[in-house]
Amino acid sequence: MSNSKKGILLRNVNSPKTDFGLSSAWSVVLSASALIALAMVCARADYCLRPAALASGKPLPAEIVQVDAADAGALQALWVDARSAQAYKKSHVPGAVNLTLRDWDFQFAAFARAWRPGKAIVVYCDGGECLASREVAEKLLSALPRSQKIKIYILKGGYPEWQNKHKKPDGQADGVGGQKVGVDQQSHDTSQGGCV
Amino acid sequence: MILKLARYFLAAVFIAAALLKIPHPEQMKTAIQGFRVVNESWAVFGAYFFPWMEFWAGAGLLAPIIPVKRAAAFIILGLMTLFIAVLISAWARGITLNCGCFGFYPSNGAPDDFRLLLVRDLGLWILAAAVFWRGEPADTDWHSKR
Repeated sequence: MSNSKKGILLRNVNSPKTDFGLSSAWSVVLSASALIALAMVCARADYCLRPAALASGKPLPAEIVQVDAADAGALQALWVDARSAQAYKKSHVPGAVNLTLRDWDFQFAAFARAWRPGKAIVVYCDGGECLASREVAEKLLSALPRSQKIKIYILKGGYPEWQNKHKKPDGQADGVGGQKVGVDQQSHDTSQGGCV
Repeated sequence: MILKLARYFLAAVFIAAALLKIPHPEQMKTAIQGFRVVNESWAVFGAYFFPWMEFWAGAGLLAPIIPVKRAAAFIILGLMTLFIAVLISAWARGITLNCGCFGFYPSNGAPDDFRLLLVRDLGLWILAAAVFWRGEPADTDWHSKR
């Protein structure tokens, strides 16, 4: 075996397989970015093509209807914030009570103190892609006494839409909480998750 | 040869897991919410994104282009690291759940065994690390060109 062949053999055996240069590292980074981008595009298309998949295709009960932020104000309703306690503390619709499936047991007591029979209920969550408002509305419907006439509304577009409708001239929303949240930072397209 | 088998095995596992989950985003969303780590909007995002990410990472492992294979292995490493972290977090907080990792949910609602999940995920992490760092002899063909 010639010396050059021996050298090749040794390099084959001892060469670190982990040794890939800067250009190779960049090509890996670019490939990873391309794979992630592919996944994002497919996920987005999947969501746009099957937006109802998350709602399990179930129609809303007759007692639960959707309402626009513009019409919701005239209802004189009790507002229910179905978002997390953290989001609620940060900012919420004035007078809203926090009620989530997760902390239902102790939050429901506060709701029951605030609600009077016959008073409409408007439930909202994070926005067009959220289902918490629907889940809370359905649970409320089953939890409240059937003898009462109950009307529950789900706010279309959720809290971001409410903030948009109650935008002040300085760009701040009229929410209650530890801090005012800029509408431009918080709001996003909630019609169909920006699919249209 | 062993690394090639590991790569094919990882690809099969991830593509299968993705194909089982892609048709059921609502179950995936519930599974993600079960970990109590993210809010609902992020759970919806994850319900659509993770299955597709798993699919493309698995498919990338089968690509005949070396950087794509390494990139796919790197992404799987990242995904497994994330899954292991949230599993440990949920275990530490005493949460019982069904991870829904392969789209299966027991009809009796029995929670998953965290130890088994961690062992499985660590095994997949090690395989992905081996594919990423060691590659395959056929991949490092620089010596054959000399």
